Amino acid sequence: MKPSAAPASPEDLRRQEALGESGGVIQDESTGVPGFRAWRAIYWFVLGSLALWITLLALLTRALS
Amino acid sequence: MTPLDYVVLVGVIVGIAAYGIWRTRGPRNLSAYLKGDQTMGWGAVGISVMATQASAITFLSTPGQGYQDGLGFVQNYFGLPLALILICAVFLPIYRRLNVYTAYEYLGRRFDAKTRLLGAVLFLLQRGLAAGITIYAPAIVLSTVMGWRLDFTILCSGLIAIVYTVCGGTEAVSITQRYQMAIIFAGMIAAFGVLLAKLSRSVSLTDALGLAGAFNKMRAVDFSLNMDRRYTLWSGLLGGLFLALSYFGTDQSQVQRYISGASLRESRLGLMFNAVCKIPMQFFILLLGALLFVFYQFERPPVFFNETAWKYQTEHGAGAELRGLEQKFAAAYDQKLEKINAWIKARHSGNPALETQARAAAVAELDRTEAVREEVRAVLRKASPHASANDSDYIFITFILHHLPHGIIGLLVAVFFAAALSSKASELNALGSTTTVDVYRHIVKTNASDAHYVAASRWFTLFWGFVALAFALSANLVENLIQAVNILGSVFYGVVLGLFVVAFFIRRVGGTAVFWAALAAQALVFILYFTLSISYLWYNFIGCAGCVVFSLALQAVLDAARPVRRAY
Repeated sequence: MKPSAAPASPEDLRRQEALGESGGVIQDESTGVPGFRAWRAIYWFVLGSLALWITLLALLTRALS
Repeated sequence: MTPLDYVVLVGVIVGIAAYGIWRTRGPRNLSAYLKGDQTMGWGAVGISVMATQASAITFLSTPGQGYQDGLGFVQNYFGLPLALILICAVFLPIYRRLNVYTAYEYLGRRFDAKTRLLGAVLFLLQRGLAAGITIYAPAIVLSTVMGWRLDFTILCSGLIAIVYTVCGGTEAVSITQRYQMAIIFAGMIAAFGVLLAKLSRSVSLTDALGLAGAFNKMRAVDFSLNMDRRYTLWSGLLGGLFLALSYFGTDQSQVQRYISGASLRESRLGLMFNAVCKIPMQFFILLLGALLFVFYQFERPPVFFNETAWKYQTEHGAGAELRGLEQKFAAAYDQKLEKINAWIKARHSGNPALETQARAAAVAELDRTEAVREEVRAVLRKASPHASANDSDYIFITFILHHLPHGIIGLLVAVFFAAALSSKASELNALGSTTTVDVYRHIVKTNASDAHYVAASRWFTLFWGFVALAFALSANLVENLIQAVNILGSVFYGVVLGLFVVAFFIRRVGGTAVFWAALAAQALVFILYFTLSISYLWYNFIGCAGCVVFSLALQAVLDAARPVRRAY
């Protein structure tokens, strides 16, 4: 069996993750989507669209059942 | 099907596969073969993720689900956007930055070799079986209605996917998926358009939706807290969240799709594209089924949609009884149509009391026709106990063959094959990668050349392709097909997700504790599955929670048992 690397704690991994393949620090990339500067804004948009869908489907259920 | 339909079908399927092989010809290293050299943009990632999830079963079986049970199945997908956000925020950055080939490599780095192997084996077990279903499920339906041999249909669809996946690896899978999804969208939109046009001859869209609602087909959201109900808002949000988190976050067939994005940004946007589009897509497929139900209120449907099974039984054994039931169904149908027309008239009269009365009469007639259909199923079950009496998977294909114009029929059958190939290819690609990276390279041959591992990956992909074919050739399913796949996933996914949740969020738990905890949680899920009758979606939660709780308890025991060093 190939000897696996020593088990790493999440903190070790996070440190490791902060280093890119070339060893340099990887910054969290910008979204590149107009109107959404941070990823958090995109996540809120997705949550909003989920809430909208559930509301519309609940209204549809109420109106037609 | 006419020659024109066959030309469309063969041209589309073989053309896309040949293009995928041609585009990915030439030698490639392991990274290019397994991750496509990470050059995909967000659109390609998004389509690839969508195509992997949307198998032929999605397009064949989901309209039948909408016809039979209405829109409620859409709740299954409510947890998906939440899961994809978590994956984008937590899982994906770690996979990208550790530059892993498979999700289970991360388990090896965080815990130990045995936990990595356990994650990989659980995946191989579950996905290996599911791969058989993804070939078998559409083949059984298509062969039945087309009159093709089942083994021929399974071998044709299976071998095409095997050839281009083995030849071109991840890149071939992604390239072909783009065109396959284009065909799928075109075909489904065409079917929806034809259905609406045909429906408008009998009833307006508003009346059609009202009719579907009166017959309980438009109940999309159920706020009930009853655990026995398969689809509720809560089981969809919580169970669906865990199912989607396990599937997208830890199933290599999906992880492999989005880690091949050109950057973290492209991978994230590809996933967010799915988070926004999946619910509307499933809604429209289910709505197609609900409208098919309305269509068949004005156009007499066959008493049993699996017409081949029906024909066989009427000619062998139960013929007299079935023909009698067919006449009873025809009479009940005529009565029902009369009541439905009366109800529509009452709807437009502006008299609510009259409308309520007419609606109740129409619902009572529908119950009568459904009772006859149930009698038919009972007779068929009695005549052939091993055959499935569930005909919901045959509803959409019956509509296609009887009501769509030639050419479009070929396109729609191509949709089912394209969807089967796109999900099958991803599965084979992932099974081959995991066997190569997490088993072969990790345990069997640890220091070989890149070219050796590419060759090994090709052989393992071929091996899993033949395993899936063997399973498909010997399978027999009685569940609605789309549910069968979800049930199988739910039994295994929760525990695999538990491994990853502990890895990501609980730093004090080590490899030994999580390994034994995962085994105990999997045993618990098996026991509960065979003893309880709760919605299968809950097993995703139970498996995950069991793994986390057992891990914490076991780690506490191990910590307590560890000898304490004393300074003298």
